[in-house]
Order: sequence, then structure tokens, then C-alpha cells
Amino acid sequence: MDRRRFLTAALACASYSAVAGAADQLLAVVRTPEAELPWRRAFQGVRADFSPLQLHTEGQWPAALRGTLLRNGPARLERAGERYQHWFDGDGMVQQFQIAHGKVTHQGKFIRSKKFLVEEMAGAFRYHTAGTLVKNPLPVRNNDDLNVANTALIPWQGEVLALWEGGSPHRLAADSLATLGVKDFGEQYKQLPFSAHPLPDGQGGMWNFGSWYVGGQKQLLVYQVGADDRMQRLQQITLPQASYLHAFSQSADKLVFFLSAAVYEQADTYISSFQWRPELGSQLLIIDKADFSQQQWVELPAGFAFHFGQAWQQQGELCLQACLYPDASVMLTGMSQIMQGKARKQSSSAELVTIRLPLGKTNATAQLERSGLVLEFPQFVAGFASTGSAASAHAVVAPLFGVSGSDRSESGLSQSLVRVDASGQQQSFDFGPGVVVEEPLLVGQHLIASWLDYRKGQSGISLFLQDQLAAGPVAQARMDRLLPLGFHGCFIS
Amino acid sequence: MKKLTTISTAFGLLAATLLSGAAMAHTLTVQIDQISEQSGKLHVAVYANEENYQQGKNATAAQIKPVTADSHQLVFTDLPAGQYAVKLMHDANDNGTLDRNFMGIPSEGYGFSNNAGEFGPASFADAAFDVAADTQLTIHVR
Repeated sequence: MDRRRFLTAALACASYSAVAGAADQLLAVVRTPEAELPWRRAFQGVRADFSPLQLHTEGQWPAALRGTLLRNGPARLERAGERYQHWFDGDGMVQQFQIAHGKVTHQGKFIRSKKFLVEEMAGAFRYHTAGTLVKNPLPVRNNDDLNVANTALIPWQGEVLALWEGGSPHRLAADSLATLGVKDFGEQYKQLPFSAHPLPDGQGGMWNFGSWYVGGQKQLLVYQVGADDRMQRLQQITLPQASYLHAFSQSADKLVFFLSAAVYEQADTYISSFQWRPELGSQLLIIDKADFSQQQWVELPAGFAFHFGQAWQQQGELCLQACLYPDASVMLTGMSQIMQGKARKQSSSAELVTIRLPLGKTNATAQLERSGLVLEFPQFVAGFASTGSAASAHAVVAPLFGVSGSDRSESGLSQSLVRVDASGQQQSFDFGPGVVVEEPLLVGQHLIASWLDYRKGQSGISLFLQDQLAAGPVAQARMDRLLPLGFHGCFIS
Repeated sequence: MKKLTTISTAFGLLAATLLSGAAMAHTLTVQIDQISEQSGKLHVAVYANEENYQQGKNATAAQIKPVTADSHQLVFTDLPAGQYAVKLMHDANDNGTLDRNFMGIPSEGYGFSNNAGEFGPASFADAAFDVAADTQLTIHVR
């Protein structure tokens, strides 16, 4: 019986606290020895933009599929003999795959942040980053001096925003990938932390948040940016603990935050300031969209998560899908180990779970349903209209897609795509040894994912039918370019 | 030999006297570079103690200079010998204040003597320097 099946059978429905210890043991995968590590190439970084190149295509690219896949990730990882110590540190680079008439063309361009331009001129790193203290740092005016714009991309107002989480988005041209400037949503909202995972507000605007832990503060800033490109609402919420926050979720009426047990205690770098404090536990913060001051807090045992799937309301309950880690080792050590060429052997993996709790009750107890499925970078058809309401008996829960891994992966990185529907039915496609697959995106009836084959020195994209993932890709495109692994992207039709 | 020593001592005293006389009128030259926007004005103030420095009041000397280049030099004359710290802001939109966001973080340029303060304001102790003769320093606007 493989690990996935074992987990599914043994722990399909258990209370949160009962499984935390078990998850630690079960998900702490022991990886390959470090003797032969060809996957290190995935983290060698790049030094220059990629000029346009047509890819070699295979299979049936639908004639109707036209658009641009954009992906963001840390790409400049070394300068003048200094190498970053954490995956979050690298300067953002956009990989663009233009798809038209069955042909695919790639180009890549660094985002011209202030930091990137200063360091290009200097020929050396000049600013500290999230996880690295550089040798000869310049003093900083504000957070945007450290902005690497390397986390995500969203279409916005006819442009593309390159998102980081500690500061402003950068404005890009979708076609040329030219950096157009630094984005703000009003004079007094400049340089505020702005997460890389805004959510649509259903009215042409977006919800988002930032965490502000400078000088011992524990502030969560919750935003609604209107369709008019201006900040409509901002609520400052004092948190009980300064948890690392990367993303959030929404149901029809609520915004849902998971406050992990990795909490900020100021140290040398931003990353090293986060300490795993399981004794604090975790909490859910549920905020009423209509009135940000209406908040429900629910205590949970210690856990850690970057990403969340859908949240929905059903018969007085709130349900939240989370990619839950038993601890924060993936961020605190795993992402440093891979930068140093060490396999992620000590860090845990994320499991898809559903957290359920009664809405609106004080001292509510949360229940946790485990899937047994290792899943990260969750994606689903934007379900704003189908996420149920307080009164609905049957919320529509869309299938969830993401990347997965297995004990066979050399690097501890993702090598397969998975699909799981509301009934728990799973499909997957394994890319095989030597391939790392990145966040998949939903495009019409299709699923599109970029990947890196570090053994062959190739990168490419694969197209699947969403409901026939296990059947494998219907079309692929590949090229002899080794692109740096990235985080998040978007598809613009 | 004794006479030589006496003469030398006398010269030493004379030199010390002359120097201390000059200390009444030292010149501080502040070179300001890395100005990112050529607009607005530089507001530069020299403070002689921590309290005034912190409160931004009772500057020993202060100048406002229109920005026309990416670097400027300001000269402060007649400074008594002592310890000082310099604060500057670049009011790029010329509205008379250092613009800040909702959380109080400056969006316009600023700087401190010794280029002190890695993130946020520098303390007087970190920005302080001694003026015992004509002095030059460079502040990078951040």
C-alpha cells in the first residue's frame, strides 16, 4: 500500500489535533542522498533576458486556443560570487509563452524593479533580501527598495501586475513584458505590503491583505481595491500572533485567514525572524465582507500553510480547503536547503485538508478532514458565484487541481499534476523522473502547466483536458532552455 | 635642548589657540547624492543634540535647496566645534512635507549623516559625528 492510500484509509476523517503528530512522521519524506543532484540545475538562476524562441510542439494544439501563459519566479540568484540563501530572494523574471495557431513562442524578461536596476549597475547585490544578508548593503527608504516582484502575476486594468508580498505590485506590459512602473492604489497606500494572492471581489475589484510586523507590531491590513483602481476599504486588525501569511480564501460572505504557528520574532532576516511555535497553535480569522469589523476567531492546533483552495458556506458551516503542512520547515529550512544544493529531505509536505467549523459561534470547534493527498499550488475555476451562502444547503465545490510529489522525486519537488473532485475522486499524471512541474492553470476546458526537465536541459508546457488528466497531455511544447522554477502565473486569452 | 622644548611647547600652545579660534567657525560641507527624482527641494538640517534631532526642532543650521541634479553640495559655515547629526528629506513634490503612507513609511527620499539607519530612521547616536575642523561628509539619499 503506498503512502497516499495508507493516509487515505487510515486518516480520512480525523480531528485536527489527533493527526498533527502523525502527519509529522508520515509526511517527513526521506529523500535521495546528495551524491548525485542533477536537479541543482533548477536553481542555478539566469543572468539575462531570454529573446523570443519558437518551441518544438507535439500533439494536438487546439486551433481555438490563443493566448499568453505568463509565469513569475525568482531568477537572479547570484551576483559577484554571492549566492542567495533562500528561494524567495531572487529577482522576479516573467516567462511568457505565446500560443497561437498551434505554435508556441517563449521569451523571458526580468522585472526592472529599483533593486534589480541598482544591482545591475553595481554588478553586485546591494540590498538585503527576505532570506539573505548581503555583504555591502545600501540603506533602504521603504519596503519597495527590497521588492523583488517575484511571486505572482495577475491581469489588471489592461496591464499585468507582478506581485510580491512585502510591497507594491509592479506594472508590466503583457506583450513586451516591459516594466511600466510601481503600482499604487492611492497616495497614502503606496508601498504597503500587498500579498501575491488577491481574490476577485465579484464587482471588478479585488480583496487583498498585507501583514505588518515591523517593530513588534502584529497588524493585518485587509484591503478592497475597487474596479476604479482605488483603495475602497482598508481595515487594520491586530492579530494575536504575528503569523506568516501568504494567501487567504473567500466564501460568498467571508474572507478567511489561516494564522499559522510560524510567528515573527525579529531576527537577522525576514525569513529567519519566523519561528515555529507549536505551543501557540494556529487560528482561523473569518471576516465579514460587508463589515470588516465583524470577525470570528477559531483556535486550531499548530499547522502551516501557504495556499488555500475554496471556502464555502453550507448549512451554517464554513468549510476551507487548505494545503496544510504539519510545520513550517518547508519555508524555514527546505527552501534554503534547495538553494544550497541539498535535497529537501528534512522538510514536510502539504496535504490537502478541509477544515469545517460552525459559523458565528464563539468558542467554535473546528474539524479537519484529511485527503491523504499531497497537493500544492491549488487551482480551481473561480467559484465566487458558486461558493454557497449562509442559507444554501448545497454549495457547489469545484474540482481542485494542483501539483503533487512522491517519495520517488529526487529533489523533493513536484513531479505530478493531480485533480480531486468534491467526492474525493482523484486523477493524476506523473511527468516521470527528472521533471519538475509547476503550478497548473485552468484555461477553458483545459489545464496548462509549465515544467522543467533538468536532466535533458529542457523546459516546456503541457496541455491537458481538465477531466481527463490521467490520460496525459493532448499537446506539449518544449525547448532547449533551462528556465528557473517559479511560483505563480496567469493565462491571458 | 630645554630651550627647544620650551619653544616647541610655545608653538604647540599657539597652534592649539589658533585651532580653537577656528573652531568657532568651522565649515561643514555636505555632499548629497543618489537623488532619484530631479524635482522639488532638499530640506537639510544640522542638529547639535539628541532631543532637537528627534523632535526636528531648533536646528543649529538648516538649508532648503531646489533639486536640479542627481547630486548637490550644501555648505554650512560658522559651526562651533561639537557633535552634530544631519537629517535630510527630499520633498520631491514640493508640498512641504515628507510624504508617508498609511503605516507612516516615507515614500519620498530621506537620509542621515553617516548614512545611518538601515531600515527606518537613524538614531542620533548612529548619525552623530564630531566637528573639530572643517568637515566634509556624503549622504546618499535613499
